[in-house]
Amino acid sequence: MYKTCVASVLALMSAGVAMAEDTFKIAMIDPFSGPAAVVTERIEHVLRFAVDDLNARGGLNGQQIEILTFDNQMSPAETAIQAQKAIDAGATILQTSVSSGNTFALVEFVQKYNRRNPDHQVIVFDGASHDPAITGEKCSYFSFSWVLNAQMKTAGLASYLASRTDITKVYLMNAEGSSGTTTRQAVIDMVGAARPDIEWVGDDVHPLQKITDFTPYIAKIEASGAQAVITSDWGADLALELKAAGEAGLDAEWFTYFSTGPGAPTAMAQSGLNGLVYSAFDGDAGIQNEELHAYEAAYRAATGGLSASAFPGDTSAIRALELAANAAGSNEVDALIAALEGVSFKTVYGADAHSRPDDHQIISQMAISRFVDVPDGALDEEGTGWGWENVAIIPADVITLPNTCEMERP
Amino acid sequence: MGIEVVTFSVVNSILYGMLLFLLASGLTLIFSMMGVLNFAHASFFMVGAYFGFEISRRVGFFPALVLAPVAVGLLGALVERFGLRRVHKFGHLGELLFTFGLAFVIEEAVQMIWGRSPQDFQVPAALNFTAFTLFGTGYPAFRLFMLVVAVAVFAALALLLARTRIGLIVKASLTHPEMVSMLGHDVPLVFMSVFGVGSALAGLAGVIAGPVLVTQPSMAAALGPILFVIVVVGGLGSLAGAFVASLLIGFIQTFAVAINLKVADVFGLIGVTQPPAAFGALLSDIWNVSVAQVGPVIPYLLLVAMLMFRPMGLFGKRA
Repeated sequence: MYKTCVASVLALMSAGVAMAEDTFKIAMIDPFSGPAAVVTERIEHVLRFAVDDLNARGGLNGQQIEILTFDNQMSPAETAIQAQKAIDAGATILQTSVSSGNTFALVEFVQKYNRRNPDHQVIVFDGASHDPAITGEKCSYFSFSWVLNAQMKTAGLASYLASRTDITKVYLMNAEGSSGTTTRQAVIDMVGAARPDIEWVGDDVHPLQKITDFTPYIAKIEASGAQAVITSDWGADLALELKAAGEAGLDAEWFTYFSTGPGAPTAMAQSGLNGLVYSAFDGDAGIQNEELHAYEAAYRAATGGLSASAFPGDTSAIRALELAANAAGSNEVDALIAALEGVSFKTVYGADAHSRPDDHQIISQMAISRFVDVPDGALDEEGTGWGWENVAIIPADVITLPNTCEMERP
Repeated sequence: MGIEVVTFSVVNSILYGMLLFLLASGLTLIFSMMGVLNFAHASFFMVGAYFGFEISRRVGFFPALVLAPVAVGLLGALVERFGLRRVHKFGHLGELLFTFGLAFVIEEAVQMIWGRSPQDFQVPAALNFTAFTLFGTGYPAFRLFMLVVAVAVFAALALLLARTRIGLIVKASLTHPEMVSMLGHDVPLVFMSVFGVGSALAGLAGVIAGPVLVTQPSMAAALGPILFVIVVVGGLGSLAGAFVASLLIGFIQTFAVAINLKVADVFGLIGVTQPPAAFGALLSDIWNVSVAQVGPVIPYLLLVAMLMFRPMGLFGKRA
């Protein structure tokens, strides 16, 4: 009797373990500490919201999805270490979002791991790092990018500026480092080709996240007579320069890539630059689309006023994963990758999107919007009473660039 | 460089330099009195910004300008009374490590209470107008207010130390604590007050800088290192030195941006227009570096040079 009791207890316990083992695990490998943690925090909310919704509808082919989190401390070396831990914990999909350096490290690690462990392969999701090399020279069969890359966004910006013939004097403002310098060159090439009449009245490459006082730069922009500034700055740099521009009463228009990110809306509302700051991004809450507005309303109610549209990659990733798993009828890695290639789905903005099979890059529309003092009751950002007003939707075919990936397929 | 650029740069340098002085004054006060280099000083600055934000959205900015520094000062006094005083027995290294650890503790605490996202700390409506316009660029009244507060703090501190009995006792407590104690003064109380006042000054700087900069947990780490440059260059423990060094750093960083000069231009002057091919890619990268790009490093270069050639700093009395 005693023995059967013990045996059944053991059996029950192992069943419990088996049930916990039985989830489909997605590992977030991102900076959960340090200055970049504010971005990770927002991404985690978006990812969990999408996953909770999917789980409530029965999960992935009947299997519940579980999110594991690993702190890579914003370091590529640590990313590889945490990736091994995530795999040991049973993760099938490893996702990283915040920095392209970490994404490269993760893709490289997974390439090696999958070659050594052909029976237990894993997939990489790139949630937000937006470096064109991820689906270009460093592309991988096992990796999928769920946001438009910087080249595509610059192509979209160039297309919009082609219609803004009133702007002829443009100032370039970028930080040192790979993201700033590659975007700067892309702007000079693409915007320059679309608008050969544009004169570059200034071209500053400033230190990355080290400046506390941007007033000297604003004075330079003012003195140059620029009508517009194009900047790939983000985080504190973007917040401080926009506040300094507002203080000085600079009336140039700002074309930015990262003004939807955490903290930027707060700084823009403080700057008082009403309608002067444009965002060239995958999209924003200002796009007129009922599905988007319903999703945003539900998301804001659940998270206490944060917006989901600032991080589209994670919603896209989960939607694409669900459709791919349904089509494949299996949650096995081989079947999932085959089904993810070319999968068509709708982004958080309600727009059609697909993952290009050649390089696993998401192809979708993008939006140019400007930040304005919105009427009461409209979707605002970070509780500021200010929000996005869409001025142009750039269709997917305009920003689709030729594939540069030479993919090694198993 | 045109007259406009020079004028802008001078005005901007002074405004930025004064913000730095507001911060450095508290640090240098604590150092000159207690001999403690306070690594957590920028953290008190950050706490001041957060306290200022919380108080100003309830009772307004001007009450916050008084209440927040008082609150930060009390916090500083408590830290001295229950932390630093115990560590003091083990010498300056212990104190240094204590404040170093404290900076991390404060940052983490602020993140736990207010979160990681920046707070919406706005310039008060009463000071949210353009004070004067110079060649088409407006100068906000709030920056001028910052300047006035900084100058007032400098004057008040200088008078307090040089002309009053309190200053006398405080200075004597540092060099001859036993003697001051024999004369019936409570030396530990003096130290606690000095630390409290120093922290309150950092808090004051926080309340004023919060709306201009971004009120977020990383604001301490962003400004902390430059404060040490100011204190060392000005002369450890010299208030006048900190004042001059703050302005100097303000000028260096502002003019570095204004000067449109690249390494290539310097060589251009001596007739070299192409980087010598022999040095390859390494030199062609350096070739296009502008003064603006190295601007933030210049103060640290100054710090290193100062320690090598004049360790007592510009106005310091001891090495």
